[in-house]
Amino acid sequence: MEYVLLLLAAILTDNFVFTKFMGIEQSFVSSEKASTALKGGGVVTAVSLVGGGLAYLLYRFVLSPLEISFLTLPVGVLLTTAVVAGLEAAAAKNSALEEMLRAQFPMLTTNAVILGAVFLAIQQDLGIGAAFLLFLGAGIGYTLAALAFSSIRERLCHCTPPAAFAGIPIMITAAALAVMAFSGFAGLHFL
Amino acid sequence: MLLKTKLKSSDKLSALQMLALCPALAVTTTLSRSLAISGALLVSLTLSAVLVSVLRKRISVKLRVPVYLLLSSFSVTMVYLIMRAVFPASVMALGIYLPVLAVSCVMIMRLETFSACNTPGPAALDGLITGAEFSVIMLGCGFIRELLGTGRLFADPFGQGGLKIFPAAPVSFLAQPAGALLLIGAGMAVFQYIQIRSEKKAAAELETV
Repeated sequence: MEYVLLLLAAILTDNFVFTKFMGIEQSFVSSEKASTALKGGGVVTAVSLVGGGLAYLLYRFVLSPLEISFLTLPVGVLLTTAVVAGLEAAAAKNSALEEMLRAQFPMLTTNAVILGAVFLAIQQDLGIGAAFLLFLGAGIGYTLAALAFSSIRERLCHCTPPAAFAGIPIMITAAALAVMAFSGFAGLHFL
Repeated sequence: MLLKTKLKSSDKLSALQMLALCPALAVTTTLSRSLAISGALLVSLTLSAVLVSVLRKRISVKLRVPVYLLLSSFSVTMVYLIMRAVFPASVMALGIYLPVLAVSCVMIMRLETFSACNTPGPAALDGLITGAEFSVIMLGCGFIRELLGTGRLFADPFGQGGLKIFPAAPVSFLAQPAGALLLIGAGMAVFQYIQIRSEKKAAAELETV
C-alpha cells in the first residue's frame, strides 16, 4: 500500500513537471500532438527507469560506500546519455521505430526529470524498490504533463490572443493555469 | 566590440531560452535563493564555456552533446563543492535544483552555439553575459515573488527572518510554483508589447519621412 501511495504521490502531488518545473521545456516543445506527447513520455519513462535506476544503484553500492558521492552528478549524466545512446542504436535497426523516436532523442539527454528523480531519491534516502517506483512515477508524471500541454497547444492554435501575448507568453500563462489546477492535488496527502 | 554586438543580440531573448530557464525558476521564491541559484548558474556556465572552447578541436562531432553534458556536470560539481564549503545553508535550500543545472537547456545551448566555435576569451565573456542576463531575470523574479508572495524582503534561504514590508502577504499565490510561471508569462507579454510598439513607431516615422 505504501508503495502505491508513493507512486501516486510522484505522479500527482509531487509531479516533477508541474511542481518542480523539471523537463517543462521538453514537455512543451515535444508535445505538438497527443500522440507525440505519449511517445515522448514513454521514452522518458524508459530512460528514467533504466538510466536513473542504474545511477541510483551505483550511488547506493559504489559511490556512497566509497564516500565519493559528489561524483553522482557526472556518473548520472554519463549513464543517462549512455542509455539514450543505446536506445538510439536499438531504434536504428527498426526504421519505423527510428522515425517515431527521432524527434525525441535530442531532448532526452537534457531532460531534468531523470536526474532530478535520482537526486530526490538520494535526498530522501529511499530504498531500492521505492526509488524505482519514484523513477516510474516521474516518467508517468512527465507523460501526463506532456499530454496536458499538447491539448493546451491544440486549443491555443484556434484562438487569437492579444498581440502582446501571441506566441510563447500565452503558452506560458496557460501552462501556469494548468499548474494551478494541478496544485489542487496537493490536498490529497498521500504520505 | 564583441560585448556591444552581444548586448544588441541579447535584446531579443529568444522564447526558447526563457523556457530553458524554468527548472531554476522554481526556486526563485526568495531573493536570497535566486541569488544562490543565479550565482551558481553564472559561474558554472562560464567555467564550462571555457572548458568546451579549450577542448573544442578535440571533441568529435558525433559525441559532442554527451561531452558537453559531462563538462557542464563537472563544472556544476565544482561549484556545488565550493558552495557547500562556503554557503552550506544555500546549498541545503537549493536541494535537487543545483545538480540539475548541469543538464539545463541554457547550458547546452550556449555551449553548442557559441563556445564550440570560439576561443576561450570570447567564450568566457559569452558565458558571463548569458549568465548575467538570466541572473537579472531570476533576481527580478525572486524580488517580486518575495515582496508580494510573502510580504517580506531579504529573508534567509529557508524563508526565515527578513524585513517586514507588508503586514500580510499581498499576493500569496506568487509564492507558489504557478506564480513564477504566471509572472514570467506576464513579463514576456510586457516585453513583447514594448517591442511591438517600438516597431510601430519606427514604421510610422518611416512613413512621415
